[in-house]
Amino acid sequence: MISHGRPTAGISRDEPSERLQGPPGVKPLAEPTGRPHGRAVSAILATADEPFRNRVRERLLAAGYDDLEVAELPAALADLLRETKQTLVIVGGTWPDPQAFLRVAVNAGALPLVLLESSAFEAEGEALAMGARAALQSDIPASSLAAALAAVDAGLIVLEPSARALLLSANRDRFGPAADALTHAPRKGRPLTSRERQILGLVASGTSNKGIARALSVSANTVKFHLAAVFDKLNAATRAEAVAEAIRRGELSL
Amino acid sequence: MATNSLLKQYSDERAALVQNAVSKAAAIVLGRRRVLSGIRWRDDLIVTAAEAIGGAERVDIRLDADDLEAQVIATDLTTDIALLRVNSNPANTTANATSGTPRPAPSLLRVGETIAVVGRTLRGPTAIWGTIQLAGPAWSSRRGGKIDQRIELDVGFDPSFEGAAVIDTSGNIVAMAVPGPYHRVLGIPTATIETVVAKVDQFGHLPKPYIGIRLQPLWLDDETRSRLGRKTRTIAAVGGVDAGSPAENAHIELGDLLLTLDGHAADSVNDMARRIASATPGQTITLEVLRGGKPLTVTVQIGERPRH
Repeated sequence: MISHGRPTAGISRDEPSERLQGPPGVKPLAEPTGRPHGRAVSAILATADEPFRNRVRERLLAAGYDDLEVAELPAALADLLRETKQTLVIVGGTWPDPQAFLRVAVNAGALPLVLLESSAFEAEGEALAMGARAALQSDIPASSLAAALAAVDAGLIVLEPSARALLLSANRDRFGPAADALTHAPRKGRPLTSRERQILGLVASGTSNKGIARALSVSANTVKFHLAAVFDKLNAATRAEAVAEAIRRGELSL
Repeated sequence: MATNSLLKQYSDERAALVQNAVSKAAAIVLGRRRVLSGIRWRDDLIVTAAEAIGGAERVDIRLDADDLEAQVIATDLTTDIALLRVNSNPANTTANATSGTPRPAPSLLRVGETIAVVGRTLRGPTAIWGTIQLAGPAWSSRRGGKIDQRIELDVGFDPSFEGAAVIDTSGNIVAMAVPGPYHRVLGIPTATIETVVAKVDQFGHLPKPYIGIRLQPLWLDDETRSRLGRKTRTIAAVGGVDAGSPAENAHIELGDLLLTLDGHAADSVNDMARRIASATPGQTITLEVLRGGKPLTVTVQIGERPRH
């Protein structure tokens, strides 16, 4: 081998025989160490997506995390979390695939970091709502990944920079002018997406967030994140302001 | 000091007036942190501030004796009025169906009048006394809401009073207190609340006026402006017509320039939005438009904004 890329028959470290080292579906990544149960490992990489796993593994190795455990199945992750002291869990792939792993990690009281394949703040929002300590794009540099893992390990929450504006504008009543300054200054005049226009039309009709979620068959959190983006784009603090500004810009019918 | 001092009488009377209103004061729990006030308008109906309610669908309510759950049945962003229906058991509903609290005919408030704002937090009822700082004529809010009287209050306001009852010195509920622009505290008059309540009683929800056109302002140069005989520098152009909308049925077309609405010069997109917002679904309006340089008159029946 010997890159950490696709396993080639016979010379891969992911030899079936090595599965004896752990529960089914769990593959030790580093050389088998023979350490007793209850040992501390530096992180668990939990995903069923093999290409994704290999890419992230390479990054993590580059970032100095050479002591990784891998869980290919949610049940395997549950077993690993039970028998190790490890709490740092990296789940990822294309949302919503990582949800099952994330749920296991959150239920076990671990600190899950979610790496997403595509940039969709709905997914980031849902991951955070489920209890993820970090929701990041999977293509962040290895150094950023290492920093994020260290921060999560220290009990912090790590977000993509783009999530900051959403958070601030969603809590604008508490952050006040600071939120305006941070979130709105450079972002004027961006057009709404058709989904955002659709949601704002329902807001204008007096529909509740849950009512909108039902009408569009999405989650209420997804509606909230769309609305946060709408408020941000329209420089609005309230639903009434957003509706009025969208009408003024010709983005919403009257 | 004598027990019947004027100061004590004054204080007792103020406390008694507030005490009478406390049974109408509701605390509305929006989240773990946000609690606002509301007015128990009828046994099954609570009035509060629409802006604070935001996109909520169900809220918890605390009243004098009860902890109840309520459903948000209408939010009117143009007047900042939201109506919540209290979920009570069927026996109660029947008993209360006709027991709406009668209210004295609304009379206009006067500048300088003494008022109290009576609200509720989870820690109990709250009250502040203040003055009617401004009592103007009827006005139209920036969002197109028709509000029966312009009322600004001089009170020490905090967010927990948003949606609280404003009472006069006879103990009548005369308005709902809501935050306005520039840290002003506005009173939404009882008459305006009654109008919204009546619409919701009639339709079961609050229909939002809608014709289905998107407008864009166009800048007019001096020559065009004088040729069209327009005072203002901008004109609203139709940038889109929704499929199946009243505007489409009335054959309004992309690119039409709006000149007048019911004879009033339609000066800007804002102006048009405000006029449409203050119309009632079912009502017919007349639009004068310029199409291909020729004036045309179109009648449109105001519809209701789609709710799904």
